[in-house]
Amino acid sequence: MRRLLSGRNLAILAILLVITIGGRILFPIPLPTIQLPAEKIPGLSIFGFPITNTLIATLLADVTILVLVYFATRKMEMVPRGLQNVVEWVIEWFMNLAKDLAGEVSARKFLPIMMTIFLLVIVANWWELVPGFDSIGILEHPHSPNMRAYEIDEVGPIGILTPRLVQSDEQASGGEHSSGGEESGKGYVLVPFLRAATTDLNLTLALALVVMFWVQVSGVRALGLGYFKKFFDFRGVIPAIVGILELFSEVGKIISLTFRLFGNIFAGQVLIFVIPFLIPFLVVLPFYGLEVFVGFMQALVFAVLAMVFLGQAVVSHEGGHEEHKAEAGH
Amino acid sequence: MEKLGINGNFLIAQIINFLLLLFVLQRFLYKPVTKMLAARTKRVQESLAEADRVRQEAAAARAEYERQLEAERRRSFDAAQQAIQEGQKAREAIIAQAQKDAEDIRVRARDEAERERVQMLAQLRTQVADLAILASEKIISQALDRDVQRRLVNDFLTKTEALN
Repeated sequence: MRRLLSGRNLAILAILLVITIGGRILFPIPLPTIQLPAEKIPGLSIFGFPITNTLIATLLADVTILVLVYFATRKMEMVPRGLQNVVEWVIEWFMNLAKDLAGEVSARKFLPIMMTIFLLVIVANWWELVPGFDSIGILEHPHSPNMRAYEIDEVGPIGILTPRLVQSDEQASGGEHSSGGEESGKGYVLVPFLRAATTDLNLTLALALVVMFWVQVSGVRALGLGYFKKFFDFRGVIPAIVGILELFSEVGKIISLTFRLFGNIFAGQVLIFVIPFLIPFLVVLPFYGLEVFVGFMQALVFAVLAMVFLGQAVVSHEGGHEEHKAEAGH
Repeated sequence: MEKLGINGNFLIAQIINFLLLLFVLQRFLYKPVTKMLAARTKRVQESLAEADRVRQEAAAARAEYERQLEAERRRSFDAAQQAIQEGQKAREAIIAQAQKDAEDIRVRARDEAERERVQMLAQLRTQVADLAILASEKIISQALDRDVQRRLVNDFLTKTEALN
């Protein structure tokens, strides 16, 4: 105890306290806009379709993966070195994991989709932690009165959000939200160029839909039309109800896959917004570490669940089969 | 849905993006890498088998070498043994020969000596007889004729011989 409270440690503690409290007072940070839908980048569209910042982040993740793949497989050697070694190790690790989850045949068949999900999600998740994500963008007047608008400091052509809040007229006049309409209010909000791709439900839902569609296709391929017996079983009341439950559970899988990934990463993002807003320095560091782990974990969970669902789909329901035969015998 | 940000266009864009990425990675990552892994596995198995084979060969060669060495050793041992035996035999033969020679020499020498003794004895007898006759003649001075003398002497000699 005495050693823990030595002069040096106390001094370090004091310095840390000064940094955190001083930071709070001297360098207050504005709270970025927190909203579920991805922001459309103003003035940027392709063929009339607006482009969101998560779409750009998705493309960035794609490019990152492709560059890694290019360098890893550029000169494949019998004795692997550097990046090739890492990539081979990762793929082999996933191959073994997939074999444990779904067996040899399914593992071989579904490894690409599992690996692609993992790579895309983990790269997208980890990009979120790179400085510049969510913090560089275009300053706009707020569209809705719920947004926190700030004053800006102009440094040449660059505007920097200050922590000075601008009260919108509607809020000041007692919350007549409808009167503001779509017209821009006072002050500015930041529309970042880049936002973690997995904080967009479109991405997570797209992955979930592809996986569950693939599950149905693989099931039909492996078992023929008999695959659908799992859902439409009219041999009795109970099997019929079970079939309906199975149908709902397929939908449930889509929803849970979609929102698990989205929710975890979005929550992490909010955490990383809010902590520096409360205490600008130091305190956010452990949360970055946590988010690195969460980013990996969610990518792994999505990939593993995809493999499990796919592996289950190609296995026929042995119990139901036997029951059917027994009935035919009578 | 709009509140959640789910939008048909973006959703389709994301699906297409994922499928494209899947296709590209399948083509340029999983296929080459799994092929490489399989090739390496095969190569390792082959080199292990090769190493095994070489080791077995080396062991066989060593066994063969040791077998030859052992045979050589045995052969030289046998040769030495044989040489020793032959030497022994030769030695015995030589010794036997020498003993035989020595025996021969001894026998010959004894015969010689015996013959000489007999010869000398005969000579001596004649001389003694002559001397005795001479002496007796001197003493008796021709009292007896020569034949009687000689008979007497011979008797004497025969007696002495019988005494001998």
